[in-house]
Amino acid sequence: MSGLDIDGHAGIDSPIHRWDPRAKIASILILIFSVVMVESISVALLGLALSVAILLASRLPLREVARRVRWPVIFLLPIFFILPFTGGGERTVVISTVDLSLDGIFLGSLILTRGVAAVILAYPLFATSPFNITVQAMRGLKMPEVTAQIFLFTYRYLFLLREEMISIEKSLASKSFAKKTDLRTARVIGTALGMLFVRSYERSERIYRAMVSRGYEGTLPSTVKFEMKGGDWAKSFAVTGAALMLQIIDFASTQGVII
Amino acid sequence: MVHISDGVLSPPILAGGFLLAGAMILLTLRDVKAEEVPKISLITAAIFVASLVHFPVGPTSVHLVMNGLAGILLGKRAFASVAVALTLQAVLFQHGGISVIGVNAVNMGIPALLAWQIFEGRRGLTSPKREVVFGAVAGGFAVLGATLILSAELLILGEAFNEIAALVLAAHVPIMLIETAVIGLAAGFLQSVKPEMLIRARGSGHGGA
Repeated sequence: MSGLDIDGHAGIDSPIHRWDPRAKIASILILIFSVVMVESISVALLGLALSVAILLASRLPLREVARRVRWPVIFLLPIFFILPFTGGGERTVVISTVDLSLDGIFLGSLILTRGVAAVILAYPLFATSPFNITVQAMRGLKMPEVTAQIFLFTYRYLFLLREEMISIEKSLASKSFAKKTDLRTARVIGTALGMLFVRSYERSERIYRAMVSRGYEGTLPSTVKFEMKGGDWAKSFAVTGAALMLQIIDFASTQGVII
Repeated sequence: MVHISDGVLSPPILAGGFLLAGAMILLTLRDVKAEEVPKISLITAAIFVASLVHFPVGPTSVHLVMNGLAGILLGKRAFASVAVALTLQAVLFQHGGISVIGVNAVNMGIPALLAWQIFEGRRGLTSPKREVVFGAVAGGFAVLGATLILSAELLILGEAFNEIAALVLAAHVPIMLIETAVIGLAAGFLQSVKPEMLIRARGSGHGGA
């Protein structure tokens, strides 16, 4: 399954890759929240431009981005197309015989722009460090120990279980099983999932005993030391400053000060 | 597809989602023991993988949600499990989004706890079919609950979203029916193969911890 390994391009050298992971996570998260909160379409477009700038600075492969943006766009498009009919308001655009709500068109475009900008930002946020470093950085940002461990272990097991699921699907296919919309398919899938769960449960017991025998007592030793340097502060100020600027311009434009 | 994307909901809902999800995670993981961590993680991974399974519905297909199964396997730990699975789905596949992790965790995690409570209803019954029946009801209600919460959040956004909320509800009817069948059958399978995996029915004398 492609896409499971978020950190395949963590080895590239770029300003985003070199950024202290804690500062990177905190700063880009702040920018994401700032972008999804803006109310003006022009400010949302500015946020989209900032997202693309950070993406380009990260030197991550752009065709990956296209694949990642696809899902949210599929989800957001129905909203984009329905709102012009349901948006209401005084102002309308008449296209042949249909009255479209201008407010609805604006709201739909705003939602789509904010959504795409946030998704684009999430890619350099998580793809520029190995996943375990990201989780270590989250611990540095006060994520509780247990939650951090569940993240690390779950991510590790995803690859194992994906293999397991593929092998179950292969064995079903070799017995000429084809999915249909019927109860028999539900029964086969239910049993296959049950099998996946039994195998993983037994595996989790073995894993726990193996971990205990290696000295696991509920905490994982931290293997990395983070250190903020001058450049880290500069990038963090630039990105959080941009997030703040978006909010100020947005406030000004919704108050009618500027358009 | 129950996950809402980035950019739709209003800031108060986003903030409320994070606050509630954070509080629920702290509350449901408070007394967690070290030996539970690998089990929670593995079941979380299994639920993630199971939710990638596509089920055909006429010409299209839907993917499973599986928050109900988390409930009947993990009990109160299901909330954190669902929250982690959703975060990873947002990070790895952009299903949902970063700013809505809190909201989505609440939307799916609370119904997962509901599924656990429904599944507990089987205690005291002696029918050999009780796991199938209660598992099915738990699985169906978990999806129904998640869909209703999401629709309510869309309705809060304003009248313009009424039709979108209705569309979301309608789109989830087939998923609800499929999860009812699949989770009921999976629960029946687990009861006959590895009953100690299902969350223990209190006071029934069946199953382990």
